[in-house]
Amino acid sequence: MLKKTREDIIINVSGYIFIIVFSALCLIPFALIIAGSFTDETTLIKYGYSLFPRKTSLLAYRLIFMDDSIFDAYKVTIIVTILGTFCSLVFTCAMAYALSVNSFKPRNKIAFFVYFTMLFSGGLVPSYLLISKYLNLKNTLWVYIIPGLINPYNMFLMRNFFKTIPESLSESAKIDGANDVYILFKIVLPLSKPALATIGLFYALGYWNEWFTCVLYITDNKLISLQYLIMNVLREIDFMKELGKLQQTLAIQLEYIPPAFSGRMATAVVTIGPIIFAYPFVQKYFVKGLTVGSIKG
Amino acid sequence: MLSLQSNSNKITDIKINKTRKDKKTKNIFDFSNIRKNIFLYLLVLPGIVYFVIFKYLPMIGVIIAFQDYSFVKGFFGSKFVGLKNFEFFFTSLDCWQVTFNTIYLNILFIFTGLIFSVLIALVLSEISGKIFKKVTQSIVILPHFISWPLVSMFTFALFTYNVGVINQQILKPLNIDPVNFYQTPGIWPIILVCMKIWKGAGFGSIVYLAAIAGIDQEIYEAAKIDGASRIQCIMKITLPQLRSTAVLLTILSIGGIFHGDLGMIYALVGDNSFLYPTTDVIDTYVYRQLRQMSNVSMSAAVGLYQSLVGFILVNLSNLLAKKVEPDSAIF
Amino acid sequence: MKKIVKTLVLFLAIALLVTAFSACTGSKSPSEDETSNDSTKEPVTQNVPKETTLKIFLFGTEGQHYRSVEPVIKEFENRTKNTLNIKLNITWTPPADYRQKLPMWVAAQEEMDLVFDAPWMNLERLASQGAYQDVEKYFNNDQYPGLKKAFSSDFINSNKFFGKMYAIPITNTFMDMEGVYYRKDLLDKYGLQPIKSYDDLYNFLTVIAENEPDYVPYGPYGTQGFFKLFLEPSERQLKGRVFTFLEYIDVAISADGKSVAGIAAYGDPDENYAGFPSGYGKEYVLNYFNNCRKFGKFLPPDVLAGGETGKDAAAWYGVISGFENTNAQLKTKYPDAELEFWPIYKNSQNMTPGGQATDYKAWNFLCVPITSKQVDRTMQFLDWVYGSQENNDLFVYGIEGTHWTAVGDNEWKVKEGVDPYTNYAWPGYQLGWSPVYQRIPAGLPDKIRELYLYQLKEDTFTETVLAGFTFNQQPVETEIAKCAPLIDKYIRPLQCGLFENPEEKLKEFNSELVAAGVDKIKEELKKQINEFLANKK
Repeated sequence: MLKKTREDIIINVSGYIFIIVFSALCLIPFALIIAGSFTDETTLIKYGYSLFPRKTSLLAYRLIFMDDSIFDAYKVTIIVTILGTFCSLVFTCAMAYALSVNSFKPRNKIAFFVYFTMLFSGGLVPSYLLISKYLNLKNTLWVYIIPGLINPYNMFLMRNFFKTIPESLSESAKIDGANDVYILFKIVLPLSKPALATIGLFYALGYWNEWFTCVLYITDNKLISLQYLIMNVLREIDFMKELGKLQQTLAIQLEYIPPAFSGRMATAVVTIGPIIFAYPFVQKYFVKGLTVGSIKG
Repeated sequence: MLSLQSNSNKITDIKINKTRKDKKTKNIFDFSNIRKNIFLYLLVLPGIVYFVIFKYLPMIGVIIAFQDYSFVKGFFGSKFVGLKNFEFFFTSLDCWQVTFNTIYLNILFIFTGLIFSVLIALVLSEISGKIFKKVTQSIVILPHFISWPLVSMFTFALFTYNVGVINQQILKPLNIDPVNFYQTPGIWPIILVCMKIWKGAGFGSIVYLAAIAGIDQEIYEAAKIDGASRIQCIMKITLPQLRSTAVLLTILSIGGIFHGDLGMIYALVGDNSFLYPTTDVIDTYVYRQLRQMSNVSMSAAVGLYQSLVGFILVNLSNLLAKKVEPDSAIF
Repeated sequence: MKKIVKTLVLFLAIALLVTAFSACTGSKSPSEDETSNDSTKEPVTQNVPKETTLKIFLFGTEGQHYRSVEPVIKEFENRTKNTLNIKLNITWTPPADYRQKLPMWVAAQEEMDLVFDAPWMNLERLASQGAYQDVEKYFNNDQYPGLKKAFSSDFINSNKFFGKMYAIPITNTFMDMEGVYYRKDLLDKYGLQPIKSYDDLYNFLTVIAENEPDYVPYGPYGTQGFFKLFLEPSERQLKGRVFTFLEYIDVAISADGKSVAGIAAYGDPDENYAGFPSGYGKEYVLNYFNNCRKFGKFLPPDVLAGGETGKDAAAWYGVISGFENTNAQLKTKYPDAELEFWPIYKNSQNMTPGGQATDYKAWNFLCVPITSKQVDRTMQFLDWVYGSQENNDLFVYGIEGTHWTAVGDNEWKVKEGVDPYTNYAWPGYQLGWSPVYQRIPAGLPDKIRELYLYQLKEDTFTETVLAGFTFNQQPVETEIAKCAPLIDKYIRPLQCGLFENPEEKLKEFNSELVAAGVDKIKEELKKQINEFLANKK
């Protein structure tokens, strides 16, 4: 008995230390970023990063939010994230479940078929022609969702989760006369809440941070995504830097110089902010032992 | 009589076996199987349509690696040049060095990432204190969302020679000579690995947390009754449950083993040529080769090479996985 | 059965939604098919031509590169309603995206009338692939007087690509004077004389290094360290007829300008530099790198890591067109600071007539893609923009009296009381700039103004012997790609003075260049230049 308690204490303590150290390493830079985003740019350059800036300024945030399109961008991104996550989950689970059933003969071939697309791709031009020219998805909300509907990585993870559910459950249901769709919806999915939370989170993050789609397919200012708007502040700075490296004097003049450092940090804060608020809601699915009592024998 | 009967039984048995075998050798267009699993086929159909349209149709673009691709002439009008687009990389002096760096760094990333992700997931599920767990869980995923260019601003502040945090605040008080980090290539694989762990391990632990959450608590209780210690519980129950996920993710990562992390390495190392011997990977090297030229065919050629090698390696590791852990093989 | 139906219905519904949505929005897309196919071959006559919309593609982000352009466009459309009857549909794309999108549009055969392109974007590649129209016939053509006035035939010929006029050069001057910006107030603080030579600069930087720990003596130009300092490119090109290509190949042209006298890669043995006039061959290159080494101690440490150290510089490289911006920025940080500009080339310092070498090449161009169905109307539009000072001013500066006021006959300034941060802004470097209609900002310090005026005078410039030549890199692309990483490996650290013995390093550089195939590049370059010189009139 005593041995157990000692072991428990050791595990608890070392676990705590490890997590505290790691969390500190994750938290401090982020705190610096938040502080930095509120710091006046020149103070930032002169005195470096500090948790307590000498001079604060909201210029970086003003830059991001001064664009009227930010409200449209928020709207677009929220709709795309909710709709996209839902659609992706539906199609991903459907496919993943089918591939997890051992008696489904073509499952390995189909798995290979899907995996192949993770490695080989035709590049930007054919996708651009397909999506923009032939399918005419330019400047629509669907262009955010449909081309990225099923992420193979997420699909394989989902399949893996489904596989951990014992076959005995589905078999006994089949004996009772249920078909596969019923099994999926009424038996498997309720048992897969952690998986759904995880994969749903991954998809949601993907849709929330989507910006490259805008580069190629969106020209209407009312349809740009939040991340694209935010990224643009930074991409301009990088672009000008790259130009300078081409060893040519260029007659390009910006009308003003944006705050490079605090701008970058404000960007990070605006991006991460909503996620940090949403994550706790998903966390409850990661509690151990969620599926207590569902499996007998 | 009996023997006759048994003989005829044998014959029917053989007949049944034969038809069973026939059924097995038929391909997926075996209609009785389809009818039996009609719902599974239906479930899988939209996904297949999606992949055919959005992934396989555009795959025709792969041929630009073998062409002198012209935007005006398109795929069917551009001139075919065979392997010419591969020359610039394979005859360059550094191509083997950067290939080695790519593999070496990626192997380090994959395995340290795995270890730390699992470790974090384990610790988070083993320690007590609900609120503490929730809070730290959110904290450890924060670095994932900080972009590499932003990270590089911090690494520069850490490692720069005169006023960097490490040289000024840590080494100086201990009377150790300052290290010229940005001119010492040897240290950087370690630095890169540490940065990769810092950024990715927390977020990567989510998958394992979900897997642990799915383990039936009764197994633990039964084990405890049998007198198992906590360490034994972890080793014999928790870890094996994570094995299939770990194997899956590792095989998936192996597919990218020839792809260097351009975003990360270019942000942290940039154009600092002193660090190239240990940090230059295929992607950064090719980026610098083609920087002033924008030749899509050449970059497509290298990309194809990277994918091809990854593909072969994945097939091999998949075969291996089938022998060892059949449930987590990809296909 | 019910379950099958339920599943099928669900998927069908989603599929229907998709197609409905895309079909719906497909029909809502802007009037792509509405532009009239105007194929008038004759120029504008008294009859007002059918109204048409020109599709123009430029790069820029609202607020940063352009601002409040609608009133000006409306004004243009009003002014020309009865003559050109053209409407403008401008698609603005953020610069970082534009470079990637243009080839996509070309591949998709998007209908475009006027697009921006440049050698530093995709121009040479797309032009060689045949994406753009040859518009030469519209220039020096009496039917297009504006174009004739603003674009001389020399100017046109110097900006041809592969012998054809695939792009229209847009520039307002052929030089943007290069120099060293420095903190005059710091100079005065230590009682030093204004900088007039590199020795003066050295002394200034030494004093700063010793006495001002909060400052970095010299601010590097990214990883290119001292960049253009310690060079005299105009002299080298005009007196010595020596030109540098790709950053590591020097070419000397014979005195009679008919052939290549010598060609050498950096670090080549002395024999290869034999055909070079003395002072402009190997010595010139070594002098540059040796000076970089000498001044190297004034650079911040970890200069190659490219990060900012957080300290301000006391001196740095810049161009004169950035004077106002740089000054304004400086004053926000240090209200007492004084900015001074020292031109680094002797011909700029002495404002020598004819001292500036030029090949009259512009950096920015406008192109008419072959997918355009109204080339004539497009050229008529450009003819208008370049037709008179008044027309030109409309686009470049805005509506006179509302956005800006003229000062004298060649200066301008933002109208009194108008907030410069919400005022009209237009990228003249994409459409509008011309040496003929150039205006200088009013209110510049006298010295700077003098330098500006020097830049605008025609007789400042002398055409180099290689004006009009473009090196077609395609035959040796593989070798160039192999040599490219060596620039980062050797030239950048050399420019930052990080190697103790530049001459030795150049030899190392050379051996790797040779292994990467630089000889093939030299052969090809020599061949192309000889061909060019032979065909020159």
